[in-house]
Amino acid sequence: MEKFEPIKEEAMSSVERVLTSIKLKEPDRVPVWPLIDYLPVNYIDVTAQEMIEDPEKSQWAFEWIYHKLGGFDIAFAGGSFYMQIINPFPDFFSIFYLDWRLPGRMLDVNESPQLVENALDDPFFKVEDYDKIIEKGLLWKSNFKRAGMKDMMKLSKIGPKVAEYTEKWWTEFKVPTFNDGACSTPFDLLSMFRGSTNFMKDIYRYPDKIKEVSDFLVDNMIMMGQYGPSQSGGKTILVGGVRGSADFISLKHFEDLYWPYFKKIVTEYVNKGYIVQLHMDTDWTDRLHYLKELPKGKIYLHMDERTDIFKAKEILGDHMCIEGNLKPSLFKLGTPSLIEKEVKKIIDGCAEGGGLMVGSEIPDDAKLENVKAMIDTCKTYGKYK
Amino acid sequence: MAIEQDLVNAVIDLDENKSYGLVKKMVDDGADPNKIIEILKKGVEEIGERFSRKEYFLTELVMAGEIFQQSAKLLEPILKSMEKASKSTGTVVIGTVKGDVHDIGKNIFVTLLQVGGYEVYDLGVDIEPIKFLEKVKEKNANIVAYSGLLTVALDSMKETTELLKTNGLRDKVKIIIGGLPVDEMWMKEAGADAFTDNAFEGVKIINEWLKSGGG
Ligand code: B12
Repeated sequence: MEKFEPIKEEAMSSVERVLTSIKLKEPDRVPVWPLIDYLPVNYIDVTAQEMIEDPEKSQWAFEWIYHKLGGFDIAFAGGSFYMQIINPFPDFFSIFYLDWRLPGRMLDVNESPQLVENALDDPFFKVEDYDKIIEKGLLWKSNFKRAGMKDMMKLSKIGPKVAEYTEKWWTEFKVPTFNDGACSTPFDLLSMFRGSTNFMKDIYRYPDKIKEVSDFLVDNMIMMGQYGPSQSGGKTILVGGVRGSADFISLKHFEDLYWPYFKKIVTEYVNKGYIVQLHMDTDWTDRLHYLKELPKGKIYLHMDERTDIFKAKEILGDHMCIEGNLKPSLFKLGTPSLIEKEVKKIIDGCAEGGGLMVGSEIPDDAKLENVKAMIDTCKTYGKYK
Repeated sequence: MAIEQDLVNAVIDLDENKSYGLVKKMVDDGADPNKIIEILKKGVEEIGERFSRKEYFLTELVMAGEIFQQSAKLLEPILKSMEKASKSTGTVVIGTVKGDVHDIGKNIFVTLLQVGGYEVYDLGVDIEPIKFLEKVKEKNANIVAYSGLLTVALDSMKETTELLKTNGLRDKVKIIIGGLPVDEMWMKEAGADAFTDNAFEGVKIINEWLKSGGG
C-alpha cells in the first residue's frame, strides 16, 4: 500500500466518539461518516468486481481510502458486499431474488452493481403470488440464473474473512463498522418484488393482502437481517426505509402498512443488543415524530437531503443521533469550499448537546478533495468545547 | 351535469369501480367520448394540485394515472369509430439516460404526459444518446425529456444534447430534464431548456411551450 502518515490521534477513538454520540452525549468532536461504496475503484488498482468478490482486495481498498482521507469514523469490512449480494435469503440485496447486474458478470468489471426494477409489464411477483407467499414462503422464488451454487458455497470462506476484518476495524483501527447485517420492511421488499408502480396500485386494490403478507413475513425478515452478524460477529444492523416516505405514500398508508412493521423490526434488534442504523432515503420530514416511539439513545438515523435535518434535530434531538442533509451529487459537482459551508451549517444548527453525526452517501464518481473537505471540517470546526 | 361532477369526484377519490361504472354509464347514455376524457382530465388535474400541496402522494398520482388509462381503454372502441378527435398536442421522446436505471419518477411523468394527450415514446432506462437521436428522427418529435438521478446522468445528458446538436436537431426540439438532483446548473450543463423535480410541473412547462408555439 501507498505509504501514509499514521492517522492523527484525537481525544477519543472513533468507536468512543460514535458510541458517545449514539448515547446523545457530546464527544470530543462531531463524528463524520462518508458512506463509501465503490469509490476506491476510480483511484487504485482494484475493480468493482474485486470489491465484491475478493475480500482481501476490498479490505485493502477500504483501508486505502480510510488512510487517504486521513481517517473517518465509520467503515465497512472487506467481503461484506459479497455477503450481502450473494445472500441466500430473500432480501433487498440478494441476487437470488432481484435482478442485480454485477460487475464482471453482466457489467464491465469496473461498473457498480445495478439493480433493475423493470417490472411494469412482467413483474417478478404477480398479484397471485401474494397468496403463494403465505402458502409456500419466499424461497420458492429463488433464481439461480445470475449466480449459482458455487457462489453460494463460497460464502463459508468469505464469512470468516469478514469476521477478521470487522474485528480489525473495531479493535486495531478503533473504528466501528456499519451494515454488518441489513433489513428493510416487508412493504419495501414487496414493492421491489412487484415493481413500485404495480405496488402502488396494489396499495389501493389489495391493502388487506399486503397486510396479511407483511404479518407473515416480518419475523422472517428480522431473522434474515441477523445472518450477516451471525457470520461476522458484527454488532450493527442497518434498517433501510425508502418507499414509506412522503415521496411515496400518504400518512394513512404509512400508519397502516408501514410503521407497525418498521417499529417492530427496529425495536426487536435493539432489544437483542444490536446497534441499529436507520438508513432513510427520500423525504421523511412529515413522519419524523413517529421515530420517537423507537428506543431512545440506541439508534442513529441517516437521512438524505430530502429530509429536513433541522426539523429532525427539533423533533428527535433528545431521542436519537441524527445525520443527513448533504446532497450526494455535491461530492462530484461541488467544491471543497462549498462543502465546508454546508457542513458548517449542519454543525451550527444541530451539534449542540451531542447526538449529531455528519455524513452522506458518497457517489462512486465523487472527487476525493470534496470528501476530505467534509471530514476535515468536522475535525476542526466540529470540536466540542 | 350531476353525473359529470360525480365522475370528477370519483376520480379525485381514486374510486376505481365507481369511475369505470360512471364512464360506462355515460357511454351508454351517448355522451361524447371526448367530453368524458375532458372530465377525467379535470379529476387528474385536481389530484396534481393536491400532490403539489402535499395532500396527495406518489401513490395517488399513480392511481389517478391508472384510472385515466383504464377509462380511456373503455372509450377506445367508440373513439376509433369516430374521427380521431383530439389530435395529439405534441410528441415526446423520453428516457432515463445512460448509466442510470432509476425510473419510478420517470414512469409517473410518462403517465401524466399521456393523460395530457401527448404522444409519448418511452425508451426505458440506461439509454444511449444514439437511441434518443434515432427516436427523435423517426417520430419527428418536438420534445425531448431526460430523467436522471445519478451524477453520471449529467454527463450522459450533456452527451445526448451534443449528439442532437451535431445532427442538426437541437433547434427543432425543446429539452426538459427531471429527477431528484436537477437544478439550474444541471439544466445549463445539460444544454436543456427547462428542469423540474415535480412531474406535474413538467407537464405544465411543456403545455406552455406548445401554447406559445415553441418546440
Ligand atoms: C429508489 C432508489 C433506487 C432504486 C431504483 C428503482 C427504480 N426502478 O427506479 C434502486 C434500488 C434500483 C436504486 C439503485 C441505485 N441507486 Co438509487 N435511489 C433510489 C432513491 C432511494 C429514491 C428514488 C426515487 O424513486 N424517488 C421517488 C421519485 C418519485 O422521485 P424522482 O425520481 O425525483 O421523480 C420525481 C421528479 O423528479 C419527477 N421526474 C422524474 N424524472 C423526470 C423526468 C422529467 C423529464 C421530468 C419533467 C420530471 C421527472 O417526477 C417525479 C415525481 O414528481 C434515491 C434517493 C432519493 N432521495 O431520491 C436513491 C439514489 C438516487 N440512488 C443512488 C445510488 C448511488 C444508487 C446506486 C448507484 C446504488 C448502488 N451502488 O448500487 C444504484 C444505481 C443503479 C443505476 N445505475 O442507476 C443515489 C445517487 C447518488 C448520486 N450519484 O448522485 C441516491 C440519491 C441515494 C443516495 N442518497 O445516495 N436506487
